[in-house]
Amino acid sequence: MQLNEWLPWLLLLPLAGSFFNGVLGARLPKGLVFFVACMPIIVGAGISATMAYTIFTAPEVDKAAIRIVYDFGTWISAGNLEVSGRIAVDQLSAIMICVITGIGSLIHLYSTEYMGDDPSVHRYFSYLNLFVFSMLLLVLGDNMVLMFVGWEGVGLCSYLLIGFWFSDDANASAGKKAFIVNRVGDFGVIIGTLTLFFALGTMDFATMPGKLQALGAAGGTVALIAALFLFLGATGKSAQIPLFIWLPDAMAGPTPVSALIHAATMVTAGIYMICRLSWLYTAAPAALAVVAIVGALTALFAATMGLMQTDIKKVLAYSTVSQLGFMFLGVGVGAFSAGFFHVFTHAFFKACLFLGSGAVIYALHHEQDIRKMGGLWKKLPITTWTFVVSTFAIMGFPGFSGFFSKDEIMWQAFQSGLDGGKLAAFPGLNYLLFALALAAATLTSFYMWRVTLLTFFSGKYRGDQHTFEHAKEMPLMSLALIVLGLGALLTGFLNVPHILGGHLMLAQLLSPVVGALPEAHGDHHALEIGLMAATLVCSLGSMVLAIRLFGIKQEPTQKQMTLLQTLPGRGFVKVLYNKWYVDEAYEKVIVKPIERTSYVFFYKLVDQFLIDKVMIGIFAVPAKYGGYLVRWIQNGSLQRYATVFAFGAAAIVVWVVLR
Amino acid sequence: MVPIGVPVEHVIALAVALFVIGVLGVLLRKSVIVMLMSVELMLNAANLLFVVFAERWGVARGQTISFFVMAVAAAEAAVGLAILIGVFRTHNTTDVDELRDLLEQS
Amino acid sequence: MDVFVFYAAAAITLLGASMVLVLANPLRAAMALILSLGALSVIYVLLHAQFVAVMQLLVYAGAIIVLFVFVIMLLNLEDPKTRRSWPWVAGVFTIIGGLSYGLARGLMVDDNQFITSGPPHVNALSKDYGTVEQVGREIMTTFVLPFEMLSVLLLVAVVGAVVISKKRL
Repeated sequence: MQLNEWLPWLLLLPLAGSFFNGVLGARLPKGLVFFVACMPIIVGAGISATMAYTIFTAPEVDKAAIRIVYDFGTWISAGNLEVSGRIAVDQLSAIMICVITGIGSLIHLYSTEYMGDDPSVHRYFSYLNLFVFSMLLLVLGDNMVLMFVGWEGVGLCSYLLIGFWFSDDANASAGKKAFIVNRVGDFGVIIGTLTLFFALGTMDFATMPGKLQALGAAGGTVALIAALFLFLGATGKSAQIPLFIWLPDAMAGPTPVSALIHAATMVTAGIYMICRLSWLYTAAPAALAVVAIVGALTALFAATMGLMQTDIKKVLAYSTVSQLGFMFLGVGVGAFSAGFFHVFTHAFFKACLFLGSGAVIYALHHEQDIRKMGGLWKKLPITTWTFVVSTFAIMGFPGFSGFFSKDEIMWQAFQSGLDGGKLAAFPGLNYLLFALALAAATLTSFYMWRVTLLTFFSGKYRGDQHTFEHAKEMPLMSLALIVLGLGALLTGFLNVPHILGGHLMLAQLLSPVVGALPEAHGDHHALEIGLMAATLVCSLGSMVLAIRLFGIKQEPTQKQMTLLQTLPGRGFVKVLYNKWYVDEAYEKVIVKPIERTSYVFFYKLVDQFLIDKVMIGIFAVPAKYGGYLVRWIQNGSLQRYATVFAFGAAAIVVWVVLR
Repeated sequence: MVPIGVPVEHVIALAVALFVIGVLGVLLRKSVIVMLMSVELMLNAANLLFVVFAERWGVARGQTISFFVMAVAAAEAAVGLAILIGVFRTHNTTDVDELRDLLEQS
Repeated sequence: MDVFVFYAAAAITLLGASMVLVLANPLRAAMALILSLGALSVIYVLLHAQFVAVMQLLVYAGAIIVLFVFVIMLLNLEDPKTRRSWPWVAGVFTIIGGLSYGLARGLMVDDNQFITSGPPHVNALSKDYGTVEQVGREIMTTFVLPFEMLSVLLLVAVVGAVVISKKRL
């Protein structure tokens, strides 16, 4: 069996699992439901690993061109529109499918314990398998249309899973919010895709770059328009300014879902798309600058929001938005592989953090308020240590994965403005980007240590003692945490920079797809080391500050506790606690006017006047009186109907005979 | 053998008369079982036409068709009477004027 | 002779049919139906359709009417309040007569497509016309597929009748 013949199974197994559990799951024993749900993903992880191994160990001569392709045949053929059903694995998607199926199978295993008691667990696993299918389709699709199908599919699954406990109104409306906000972004994706199609006449990833080059000077404009619209889609899916508001609300879903969809995979689809279309963004430097600025602003803005949250998952949600901002900053300065590397490491440590928070929530019977936690390290040792490892990773402690990926992004952001960099056309921008990223990194370290300390340390448990006594860890959940914690610890070594004696292995592996890393002219080793040191000092500083404030063994002082308990406080703290009033602003500026317009125009004018008065007067009233005339037929008597029928038949006979 | 010396118009008239009696039975009688009998009369009128035209044209095909019509009539009578029994069980009547479930506010 | 018998049988057929229409008691109506259909089988014989005539007796008198009678007796049916008056009956039969005569005349107009399209009328019939052999051969060759489908139909009817008339659906 050729390797590419395994490719359709990678897609179809989760789809079959989803169908099976969705249709039959309610009547089957839970063990079988779990088996059917987990097997496709675990088998898929095996297939993905084999494919990645084949691609990355290909002989040097084939390395640039190697792709594993499977063709389902032509999907749409209309006029000059030709959409193939081709799926392909190249270097970029090989890493993505490994992340999706690898972390996906861990989270499936974790979910069997976390969701095991839920009465509609089959529905949960059906959605989750459908999500894996859609995400794989997004990544494997070899043209814009297939990618868009996956893009919409993950959006659907996200909606379904956020609103999984839909009997609670807040959860259902959180799902709706995610869906509607994403519609805005998806609209951008459609416009961008159509722009590309009209300008280039094709939607295949393989042929589009050549067509764009053939356009010459006009290609720059096309690229700018398409890139900006597609980026609008990316801001929706990947929760960037201005469309990030759905992600914190998405925490209403089950915690493993937050880990898989809203941290590790789906929200990185925007970065994946930009990496996939790196040739397009490279052709439009202005669009790249927009991406970088939006990314850096989001990184800082979301980090400030995370500072004062008291819900453990909300902190992690804002942290995800902030880290996604870092990734966009990376791809925005043209360092696609650096941004993607952060996708990779982030998938591990953020999934680990979310699953850790899930383990805490599970152990404490759905307690999510960090003000009521503390001292949990005694009861949940594995959760504690994996959480701490991931916190080290996300703050960028040397040797942990986040250190390598974040510093690569920050260095690339800085050097993009140097002589020969991607953003050299925008003087001074690189300083701004670096400053924003540095501030964001400093805040990241603070709020992550704040949540870690308040949850697991800072003296004794502050909640109900009975709950604390019964808190315990579950075996499969701990297994997933350990594997992900190891990933958070080790994955950084895949891409060690030259300056630390590495070879940027991942960047080299990805270079056939996204191009090589940009290199500024001249020797900047000292500068790079200096910036790295500065970042490290800032993060460590805020870590020490957090430890001083919240303590490890000793409890927070009375004053600190008062501060915690009385949130929302006053002044700036209150603004931060209320997340800069962004939701309220959207409510006032967008939602209310729409409601008002709908009420006045559509309800009062169209519905009540035009339809209820005018249309009924013209059409419905005559129909009503006409109805009285023919009503005698419909008196319910069989023989009345038969008589009418017989007279009709007789009339036809008479007409035929006498014609 | 020669065809019978009756004008074909007369046979047709007989068939039409049978058919009309059947129709009137369905339309006027209130008992469902007599309505079903009237349906049998209508089927026989059609059969008669098949047979007479087969004879006039000297081919047996019309007789074959009438055989099929009889089989279908048997099936129809069996199912119709079964329905009648079912209806009688639930409504305790076979008067069509009382079987008005089709009317909205029955 | 044949002609006389034909008109006699036709009269009995119409008489029986009319009794089905006007008799109040369903059991009597069923007996009238036997009369009508039996006379009709005589007409079939006269029209050289011996096989059809036999089947008519077997299927109708032997099976269908018996079924009707069984159901009538099972349900103990009385005819519910048939509205019947002699002017009404007279009016009905006037309509029947007028319609039959008019339609028959209308159908026989020379240039009418109902009659003129088709093989010409023959003056002599083949020797085996209307025998079981001839009809049977036709059924087993040309009409073999409809014949088999008929068996399926009957099976479905049997199963359906049993299911529908079961006490609890």
